[in-house]
Amino acid sequence: MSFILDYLRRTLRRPPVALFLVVVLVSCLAGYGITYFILTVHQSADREGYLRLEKEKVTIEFPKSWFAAEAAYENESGSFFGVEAFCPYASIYLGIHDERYTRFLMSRLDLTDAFSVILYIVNQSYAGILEENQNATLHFIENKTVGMLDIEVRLLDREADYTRVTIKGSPDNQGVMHNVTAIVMAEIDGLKLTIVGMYGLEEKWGELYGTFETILNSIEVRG
Amino acid sequence: MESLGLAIPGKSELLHSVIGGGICFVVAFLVSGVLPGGVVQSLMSLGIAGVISFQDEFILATNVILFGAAYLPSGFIGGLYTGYQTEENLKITLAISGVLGFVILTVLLFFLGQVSPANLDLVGRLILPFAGNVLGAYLGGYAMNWPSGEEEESFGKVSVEV
Repeated sequence: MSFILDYLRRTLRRPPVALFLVVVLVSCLAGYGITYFILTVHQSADREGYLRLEKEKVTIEFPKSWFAAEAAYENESGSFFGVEAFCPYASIYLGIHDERYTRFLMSRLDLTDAFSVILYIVNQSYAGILEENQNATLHFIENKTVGMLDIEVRLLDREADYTRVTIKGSPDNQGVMHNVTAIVMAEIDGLKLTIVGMYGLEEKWGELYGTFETILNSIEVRG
Repeated sequence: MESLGLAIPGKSELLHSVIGGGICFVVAFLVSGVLPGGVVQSLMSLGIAGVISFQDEFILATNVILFGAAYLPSGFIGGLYTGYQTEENLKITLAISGVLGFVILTVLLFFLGQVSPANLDLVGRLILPFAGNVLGAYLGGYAMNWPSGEEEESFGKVSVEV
């Protein structure tokens, strides 16, 4: 035992080994230091445990254990931007399409109004799950307007249509089956299509609902 | 070359530098492939995975960690081998090991589509791997060849103070 300690002491006394260990240690600590710096700098001022992501067109606050990302593009069909916050068992999404892109989408997908957009999204999501599990079932729980939902969405100025569904038998990455609940809202305001989607495990829906509400009401859209 | 104290290494020294470069590449490839996932997992287990959303700063943090935990140790291990096998021309043989490890890694990542000239992360994909591998190779090689005679002698002496 003492031989090993002596050997280690002699090895560690060599300047290149000591320098190597110091650089490794400093780099790792600096890397984790930067992550904690990010946490401190982007902490929400109003909501404890939330981070604030500010992008060119949108600002969103989300729990620090979640991820958030912005997507935006513009081409000859119109422009679109969206923001999504998600964790391994839940996701919330907001997408805003300009007039040209809304017209393009509605004619291309043969949709007529906000409710047909909602049904399209629900059916597409369900079809995606069916590809992984053919025994999955779709249950419509509610089809109403947002005024009747106890979530207050500042972004949707007028009454927006929404539907709440449960899909039974949705597989996760490991193939374990879950029941998932989703709310999809859509509003067409002056030919500008706004879509809000919330998705989460049914057993965690109670706690997720409050988080969704907080995230949704933290979103600030510019332009 | 000789005026700078450098001599052209022999075939055997070159061979060992190339093997050292190969070791450096293998370790760098394996560790740099696994480490970013490990960082994400550790952030998730700490409940602060949200920092990943701030891409620019997070990539900087990951690059700094990769430098210290992947590129530098891989160069160090390659340098240990080269330094163990060659005792002369260390300045050149160790440089060959470090540079070779970096070049093979970069070329492989290019063919795997992770390094693209169109969207090149200069610091994360070129400067830090190069600096880490070369510096690590020198540190490893000189650690192996550091004169330790004095230390061993001093370990054999017992001093008694009255």
